[in-house]
Amino acid sequence: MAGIWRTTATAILLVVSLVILFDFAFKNPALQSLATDLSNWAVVVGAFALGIGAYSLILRHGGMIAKKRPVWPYSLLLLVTMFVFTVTGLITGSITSPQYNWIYSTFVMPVSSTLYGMNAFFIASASYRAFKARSWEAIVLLVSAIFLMLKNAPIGGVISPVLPQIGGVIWDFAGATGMRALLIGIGIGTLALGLRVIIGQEKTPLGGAE
Amino acid sequence: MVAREILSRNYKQVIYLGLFLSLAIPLFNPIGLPVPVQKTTLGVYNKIESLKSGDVAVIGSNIGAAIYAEVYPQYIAILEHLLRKPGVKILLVGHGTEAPIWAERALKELNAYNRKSYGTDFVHLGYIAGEEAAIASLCRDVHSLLKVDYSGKPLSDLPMMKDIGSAKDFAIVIDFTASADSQYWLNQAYASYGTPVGFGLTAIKVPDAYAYYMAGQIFGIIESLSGAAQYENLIHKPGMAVTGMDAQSLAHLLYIALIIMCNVIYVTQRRTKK
Amino acid sequence: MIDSATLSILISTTLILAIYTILYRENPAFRIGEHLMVGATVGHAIVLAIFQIRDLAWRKFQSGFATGNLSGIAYIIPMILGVFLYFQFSSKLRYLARISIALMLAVGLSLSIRGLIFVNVIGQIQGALAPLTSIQNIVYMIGVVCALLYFVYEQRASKLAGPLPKIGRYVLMLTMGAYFANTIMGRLSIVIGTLTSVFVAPAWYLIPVAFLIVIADVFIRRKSSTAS
Repeated sequence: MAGIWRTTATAILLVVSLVILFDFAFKNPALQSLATDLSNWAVVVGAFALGIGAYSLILRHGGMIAKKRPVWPYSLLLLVTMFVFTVTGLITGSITSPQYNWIYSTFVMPVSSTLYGMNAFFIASASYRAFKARSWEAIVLLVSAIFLMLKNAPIGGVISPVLPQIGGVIWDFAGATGMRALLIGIGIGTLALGLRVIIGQEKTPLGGAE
Repeated sequence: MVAREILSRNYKQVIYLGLFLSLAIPLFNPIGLPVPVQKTTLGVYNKIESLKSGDVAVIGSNIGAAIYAEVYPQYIAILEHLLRKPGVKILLVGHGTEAPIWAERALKELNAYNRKSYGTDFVHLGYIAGEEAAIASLCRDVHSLLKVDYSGKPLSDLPMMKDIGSAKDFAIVIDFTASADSQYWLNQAYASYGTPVGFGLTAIKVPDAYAYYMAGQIFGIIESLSGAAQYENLIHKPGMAVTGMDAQSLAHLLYIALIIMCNVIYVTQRRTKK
Repeated sequence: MIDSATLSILISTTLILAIYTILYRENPAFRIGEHLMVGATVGHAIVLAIFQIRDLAWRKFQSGFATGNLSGIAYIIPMILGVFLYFQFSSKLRYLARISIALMLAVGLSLSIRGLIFVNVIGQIQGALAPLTSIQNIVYMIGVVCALLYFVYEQRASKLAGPLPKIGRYVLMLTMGAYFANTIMGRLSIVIGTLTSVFVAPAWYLIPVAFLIVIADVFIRRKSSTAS
């Protein structure tokens, strides 16, 4: 039974992909209309996917509260916050209403940005402890990083106008060589993997390798 | 003795305190270091300056609370510049869940609803779920994907939307994001329709985007807070970004000092062991 | 009586300082902030999901049903597929979710492939194929080839390639230096934004309070460790 559904899913994957790829290659009105509809449908399914994280969290943290695990008060806080945001958004009818804006600015904005910026401190302590130039490659990495930091910060140009110029040369070189190579490599790799998934050679995205 | 004990056992907290002070002191006592304008920022500025009356500028956004400090000042500066251009239409689109909040915040901060006419000069489409599929659908046929704008007004009632069907009608796209979705506008608007694309990015994404700039695939990049500061100076409206650059400078010097110290200690220890 | 704006500033500053306490040590204040954020983010996603489904599908289905327009009525299909996505949590009906995933995957992949070929592969190769009329262009061309050789083949590159992959390794290290420098700039910008929001009255009065609490904790822990 599951095998039939997996085959169906693989067939849908192939057919839909071909419709969208052929739409790009051949300008056919019927194909264009079908490709547009399929894209719009995928957008709708994507909207449903937004709730998957919530469903999963409710299951997990609800279980922690029910089983009275040691961290259950945090789980309760999480679910209460989720509920408050959901109810506020639905009652006010907009995520830019003054009430929703208030709870967003008060609870989400400061915490989210603080957590994200925390890395700055960890990188600072790592810079003192871990960034040792043990090899020639590491020396190249650290020297280029230092010159680029002096290019990024205005103080580099104040110390000496040569420093940001050297940083600029390194930046242009990195952009035209290393970054370009990475993008080409990623593009080819994604293309290869994407084609393997489309023709059904990669089974994992649809659940289980065979 | 106590100080030595603290330095060896709690060196992390000492470093954190040092970083905090290097950021905090310039915020209270600005040094006023000049912020040189990069060619990537100038690219965006010149492109917007070249827009004519009737051109449609699409502002894509995935701004969220995590990255607002880097990207929101850029967003404000670009919107301000576009609002000053007479006759240029602005279409605001979000492909991140928090994008509409920041778009409305920016529009209110810049008093856009009083300076311009909503529906004629600018439209806010809100957030569209679906990642690249959403951008592709938008570029293919706006009216097939969306029937209403962010506040629920039918698009058919908004005068400027009558002339916008697909990405062929976009003069430029500028996308503000921190993640791989900057690729979506390139893949869909630029690759399929040849629409010029520019970016406002967090610093981490800039190296990837710079390769596109070097290849001539994008017209410019506003790079993190530094780019926002440069743009604020270009439009003669200094804001949060300019005041933050002094703090950036001191903190960068601290990082460089820490890296050098780490390696000096490492080399000294190696020599001692030998 | 505190107005809502001042209350918001005080609460958000307290949360920011609570998160920063992780720099001192793991503690309940940090956990509270962390769980608050996760709950808020997910609640926000739920609200958006409902609004999106209403605007992108339900309204189109309603108007299609009212006017007999087939393409509008057909929006019932993605709505059903969207519900199927939630069956991945059921061991019996998990196979239904594969259909929805197949649709999203197909559209996403094929759109990406279309774009990536032109943008990442052809566009970048065209950018690399600059006329070799200047030393800069020659150096850039050698750099790209070396970096690609190392990135794609690593140690498996043929002996014919000689030292080129090794040079490519250094080119990539130089590029990693660029990423590192930019990562630092990015993170610092975020901290600057956070501090800018804290260094406003009345928020900044909470900063010395937070420091005093941390210092008090240091002394209490030192005292209890020497006592034991």
